[in-house]
Amino acid sequence: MTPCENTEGALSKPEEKSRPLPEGEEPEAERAADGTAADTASEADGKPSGAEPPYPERPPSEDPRWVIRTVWIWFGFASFSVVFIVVLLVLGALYD
Amino acid sequence: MNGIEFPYLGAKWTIGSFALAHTSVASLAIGVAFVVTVAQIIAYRSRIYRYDQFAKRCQFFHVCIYNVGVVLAIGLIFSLSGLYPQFWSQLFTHFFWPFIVEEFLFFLLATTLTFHYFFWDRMWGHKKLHITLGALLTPMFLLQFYIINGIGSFMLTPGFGESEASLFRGILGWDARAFYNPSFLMLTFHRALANVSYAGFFLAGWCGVQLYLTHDRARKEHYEDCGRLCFYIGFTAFLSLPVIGYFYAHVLMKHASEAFWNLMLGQGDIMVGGVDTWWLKQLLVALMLGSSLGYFRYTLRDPAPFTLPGIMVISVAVFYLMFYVAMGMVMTWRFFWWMLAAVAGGAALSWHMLSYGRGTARAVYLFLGLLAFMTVVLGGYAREASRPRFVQRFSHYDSVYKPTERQPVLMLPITPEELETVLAPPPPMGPAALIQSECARCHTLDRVRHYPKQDWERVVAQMIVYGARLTTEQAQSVTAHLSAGEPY
Repeated sequence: MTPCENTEGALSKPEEKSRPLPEGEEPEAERAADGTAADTASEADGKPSGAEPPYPERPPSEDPRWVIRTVWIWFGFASFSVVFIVVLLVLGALYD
Repeated sequence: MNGIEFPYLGAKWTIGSFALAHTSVASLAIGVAFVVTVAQIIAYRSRIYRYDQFAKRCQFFHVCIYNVGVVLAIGLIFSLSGLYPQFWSQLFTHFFWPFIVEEFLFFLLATTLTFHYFFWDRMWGHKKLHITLGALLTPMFLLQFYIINGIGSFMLTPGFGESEASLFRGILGWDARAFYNPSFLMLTFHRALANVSYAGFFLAGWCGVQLYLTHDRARKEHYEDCGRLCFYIGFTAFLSLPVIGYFYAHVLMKHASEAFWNLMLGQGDIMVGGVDTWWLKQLLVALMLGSSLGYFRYTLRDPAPFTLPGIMVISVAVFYLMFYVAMGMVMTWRFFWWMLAAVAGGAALSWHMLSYGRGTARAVYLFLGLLAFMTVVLGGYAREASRPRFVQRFSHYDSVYKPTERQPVLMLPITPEELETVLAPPPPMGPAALIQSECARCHTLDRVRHYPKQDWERVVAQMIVYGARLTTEQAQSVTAHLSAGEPY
């Protein structure tokens, strides 16, 4: 298995300016990474596919709020859990 | 006692197959998480999109192999509990609570990995948060294999006397002295860096495959760049491994002498089909070192990123020459010359592959990726195969891990204060009992049966040096008992 079967088209994707996204629609970077953009023909031709796309920029306000809220909650829980486990291991080393 | 038998493979190779397959996938997953974070940070700081794209592909690969690794881990657990029930119950007696924490870490890892990959583009505006979320995977993985290392190293260096004391006064299911056993630290250091190195070289190898398959110039540049990054990470983590391995072997020499000598002399299960797996692994490591040095020497004047300065390449070469001289002095000069030949051969080979490819490193990437995979499999096999074999897999653990007097303690709800009154009086310590208790502390009784009768005086004296706890009178009685060929 190769890790890039769903992302092959991303390399030569020319980057477009970001735009506000309706809820549920995939942002530009995701479409590029999924290979849904119509630029995959270049490899089949064996021709150079042009310049590399620039690093996409997007204001934070355009990210879906539910995603950011979910990630923050999870990040807090996971970080706390990691610290808790480290404390357990330290205490376990001292007292058994 | 008759137990469950696994058809064709047998108990040992069933466990070995699951364990090796799991290790080769799980180690890769741990290392890939680190490489993803490094690639994402580089992309964010340098604003080069290709590294972020590459990181996303690697994380997709990670999602896939993570599932495979977990499935193999479940297979390993099921096989162990069915085929080695006594062993498994012993492990739970010592380490039930670490196993529970391990399970919780699986939950944390799977969820974090899922969010990190599937929200990759949805949270593009919060890139720092996304990178930090991915970076959290590495400490979680470190904790996970920290726990597994405690259990795995216990099987090699149980630290017998200390772990017994720990169980007598401790919590059932947590045995701190068995967990933090003599080889725990070295195994943890070695595996932490080895996982990163393995993932770096493996992903570079995958870039090498892509370079063979693609004809698009932009893609070629992409994979050359990303392969270079992965190779750099792999080599940096690889550098200290043989040195840590040396200290790891030193710990084994002191605390698991039979395993150590099995490794050094190629005895027992270390040999597979007439091939010494540990020596082969050492040769592959030397080959990796030589190939990497040849690669970095060749790319010295390359303006591309992730190359090493010449002084660094020379320093590493000189350091490892000294290292192998030291190893030759400790082991045999035959070892030194073989390793030197492998390093030189690897350097010449990678130089040739780069010249033949007119600058493209695809062959070197692929070659090192394969070598890294084989080294991980061989190293994992040799480490586990070096242990003295448990001849009777249902009863043998009793004599190795659990003194008979501990049995009632583990089965009764008593407090440590009540221990003295509950314990049965110690069994009589005649020569047969001494042989069973002292010899089987470090190796199987099967080994005892292999010594010639006339050698017992020398062997018993030798074993006392190795750590057998016998008084002069006891040694004399044991020697007489064994020399007379009496049963035990």
